[in-house]
Amino acid sequence: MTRRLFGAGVGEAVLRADEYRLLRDLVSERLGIWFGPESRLSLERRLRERLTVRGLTSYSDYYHLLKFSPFAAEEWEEASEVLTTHETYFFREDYQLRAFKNELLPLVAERNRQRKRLHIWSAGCSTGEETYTIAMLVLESGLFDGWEVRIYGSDLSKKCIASARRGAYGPTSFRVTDEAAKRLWFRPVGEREGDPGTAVSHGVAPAVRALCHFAQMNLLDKERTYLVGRCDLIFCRNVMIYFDAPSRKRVIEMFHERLVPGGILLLGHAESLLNVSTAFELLHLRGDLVYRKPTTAGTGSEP
Amino acid sequence: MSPRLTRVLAGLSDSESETRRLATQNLPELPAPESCDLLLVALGDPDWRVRKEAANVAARIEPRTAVVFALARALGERDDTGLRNAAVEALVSIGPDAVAGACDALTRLDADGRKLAVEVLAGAPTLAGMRALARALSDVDSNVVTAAAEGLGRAHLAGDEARELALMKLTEVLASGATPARLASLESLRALGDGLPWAVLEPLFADAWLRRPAIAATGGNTTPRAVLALAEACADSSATNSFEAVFALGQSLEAGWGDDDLLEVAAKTLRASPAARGRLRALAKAGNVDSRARGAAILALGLIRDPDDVALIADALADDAVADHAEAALLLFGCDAVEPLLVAGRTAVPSLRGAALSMLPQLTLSPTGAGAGEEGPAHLAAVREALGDVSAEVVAPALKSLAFVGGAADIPAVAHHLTSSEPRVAGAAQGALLAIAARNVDAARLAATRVDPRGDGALAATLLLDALARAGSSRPEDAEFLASALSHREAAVRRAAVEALAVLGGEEAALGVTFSLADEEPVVANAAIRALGRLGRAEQLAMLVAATRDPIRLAPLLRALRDADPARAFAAARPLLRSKEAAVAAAAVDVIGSIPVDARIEALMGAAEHPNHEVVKLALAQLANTGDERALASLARAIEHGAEAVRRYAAELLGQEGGAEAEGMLRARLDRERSAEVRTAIMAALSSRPDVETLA
Ligand SMILES: C[S@@+](CC[C@H](N)C(=O)[O-])C[C@H]1O[C@@H](n2cnc3c(N)ncnc32)[C@H](O)[C@@H]1O
Repeated sequence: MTRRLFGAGVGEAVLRADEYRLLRDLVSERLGIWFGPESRLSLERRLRERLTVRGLTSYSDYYHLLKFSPFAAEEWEEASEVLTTHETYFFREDYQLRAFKNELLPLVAERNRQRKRLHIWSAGCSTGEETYTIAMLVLESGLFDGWEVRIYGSDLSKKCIASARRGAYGPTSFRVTDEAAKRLWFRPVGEREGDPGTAVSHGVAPAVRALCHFAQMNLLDKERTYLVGRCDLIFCRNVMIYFDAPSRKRVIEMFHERLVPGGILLLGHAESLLNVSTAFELLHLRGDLVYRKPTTAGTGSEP
Repeated sequence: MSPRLTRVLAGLSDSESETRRLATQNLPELPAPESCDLLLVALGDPDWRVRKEAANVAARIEPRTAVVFALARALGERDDTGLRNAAVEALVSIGPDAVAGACDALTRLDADGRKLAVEVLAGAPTLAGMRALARALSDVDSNVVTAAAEGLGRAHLAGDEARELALMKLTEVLASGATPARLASLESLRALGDGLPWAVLEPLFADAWLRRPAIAATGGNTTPRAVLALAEACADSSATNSFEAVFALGQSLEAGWGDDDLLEVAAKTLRASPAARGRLRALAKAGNVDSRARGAAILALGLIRDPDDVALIADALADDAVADHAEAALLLFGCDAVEPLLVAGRTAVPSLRGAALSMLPQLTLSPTGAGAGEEGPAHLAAVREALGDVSAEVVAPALKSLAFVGGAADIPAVAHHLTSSEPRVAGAAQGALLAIAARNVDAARLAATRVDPRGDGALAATLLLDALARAGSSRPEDAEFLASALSHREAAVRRAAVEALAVLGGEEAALGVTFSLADEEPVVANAAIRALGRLGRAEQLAMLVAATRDPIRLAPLLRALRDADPARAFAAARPLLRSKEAAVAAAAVDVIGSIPVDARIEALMGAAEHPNHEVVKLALAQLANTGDERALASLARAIEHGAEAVRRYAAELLGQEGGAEAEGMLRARLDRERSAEVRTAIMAALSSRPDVETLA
């Protein structure tokens, strides 16, 4: 009854059940994202525009394009834009960020005090808000002056990475940012002279930018993830909730490998590693629960 | 002692848990009986990660019988909960082979041990196991009884006989058992399928403990008395009961959609209860993260038809998860929704404004809207105004609306959007222009006259000529215009010209289209291929199929050949099924699946043995689509395929297929399947009911 009342307009293609299954599996293999039966309509809506652009008349044609065509790689970039959710904002999930700043950063500062090196990866950073937030908290902690600090932001989407590099944000990115933090870490862009509050957007302060490095990568593409060195902490929040179990497992294993012994993995509040991996141990903080790669016997410090 | 054994032993007694975990991974390589003994050591490790690893490897340790009985004994280790739980996990991962051990444990262990044995039997569903669970319903210990009732909820995974047995036994417990066992039975009866009769459910509504699960179990029931009870329960003083009732009512409404008498039963009750309406509004709000409950509440508000709710419902149009429910609800309002929708649209974000706009034509065309003439102009004005919006999210739906309700006067404004850089706007404009032109032949002709086929207005004119050709109003000079437009600098015009020529037909048209096969833009070349199919150029297409070396070109060529001459396409595609190149074989499978001749079944069955997995999946999908009995034979082989991806896929198709034979295959495979992924897929398939395809 409620299905398909107005989904397709005049002459538009409809996603048949067999096409749905094939495309669903293809997307899961390539991007890790799972479109379960309840998301069939959503898959259809999201891909419809791609059919239009490519001048295709059926989803089956589109499947052949993604699977067998020499233009597949190019098309996957466009497809992943429409298949992913990019929603993000500064200081998201603040209880976790507090635990990061007050409990985890001192821990790492202590552990790495000789090498004076801090590497953090924000995996699936979307348009960069999370990456910059991490940098702001690192600066705010005051624990790493004179250290080699690098904060990597990576995302599947080229467009997102481009806008992360631009580093200018509109009001929706600031939905939970208080005014003090905004004044401290951002510069208004396009403000009319002598008329505060007219800025169309806010740019990230240069000191914050200097710590952040962005790159496009698919977390399932192991080779590319090697480009990120060994990390002390990895944030991967609200990314794997959309993944199927095998992809989640692959990514978690990759994170395990990318972390130094004793390194920490932070997930979004709705995510957990239970049933995914036994390779991490749970670290109970006062304000949060995080996952730690065990330090194996004999290797006290990182390689 | 072998060096390997020494190493594992040392590893397992290391003080570092990570070392013990790694040593555990090597257990399957050890000889019996040490492998089995050490497995129990690892299952009793103080660190849960080691225990989990041990449970994971248990299924790979031989001999199985020894492992199973050792594990079953471990279920009785009163003082070591960690070991007991790990043993359950290990036995479940071993699957059906563990059942004998668990049945044995059920007769010998203490109550806690028996409860764990019950968990194993539920986790590895077999007929023998379900019989044992049915017996356990009369255990002296109430926890064992409850666990057995829970476990019987998986009896459908063990076949019809097991399911029948479970249905009978659980219904008995539901009528007379202790409360926890009744609760578990109700849950299990729901899991087993077809919905419980209202006569069984009705008495439970009056029971304080069972009311909520009974409400949930009534969801989807379309007996008027059941729907009435659910509507009343929406106002239940307990918030959780009322939440459950809204959700359940939503399921019943969906199941009974179109049955106006039934819907009226619910509508009357809801209208009369302010409390119920308050609950519905709260649940329908945008902040509700549970989209299933939100969707249900929205449907119910649609039944009530209070214009004050339109804005609330319209909000949901922008959310993929509930948009369909919102559309259905608004449709119930008909033209009464138009005014409030326009008001809400004015201040909404673009996506929402767009969604509201796209609803307008359907509302005024819907049965309740018919005859409400004065609504027309107001909403048409709003749609026209939206064409000037800056956001594609508004303009595209406005264009889609105009496709239904636009008139001759809209042609220039719609044409203006044909060249938008936003693909969805340009696409919607094309659709709208074709639709409007079809309704306004004279105006279309006028707009297409005196246009330069190589100039700026050529796209609109070409599309208009296309529409005129479809309406049978072509003129001789049209062919000349289109032939000239084939050389336009814009690919969009060339493509449109190719498509229009395909409608127009004739030798001239075919000549022009043929040359467009060489177009450097794939959209144009592909359109040309399709056009040759429509023009019936079988000879030419067959030659192209034989000559092409480009596998990507092959798929559209074969399809076009099928449109022109199915028998010939079949003959051309059949030998290609064996191509080593996956893209070629896939194209052949695709086209053969769509030609309704009997020989295709055999051909597709052959393709289901292709070395490339993706081709196998495609062939299976096409076979399943044919609905032919012989498809089952291929699915039977595929469920034993070496690749997990194929087995998973075959499981899903067998679940769709339904029927005793398909179920039998699934169950037989489940008994042997070692991959957790595939096991999950098989169980899901066994639980699924083949759903009816809803094709628009
Ligand atoms: C909802 S955003 C999360 C942003 C940020 N981490 C936060 O919590 O606010 C999810 C991001 O994951 C990215 N993503 C999805 N699949 C991915 C994959 N396979 N590899 C890398 N990034 C992926 C999407 O492009 C999207 O930008």
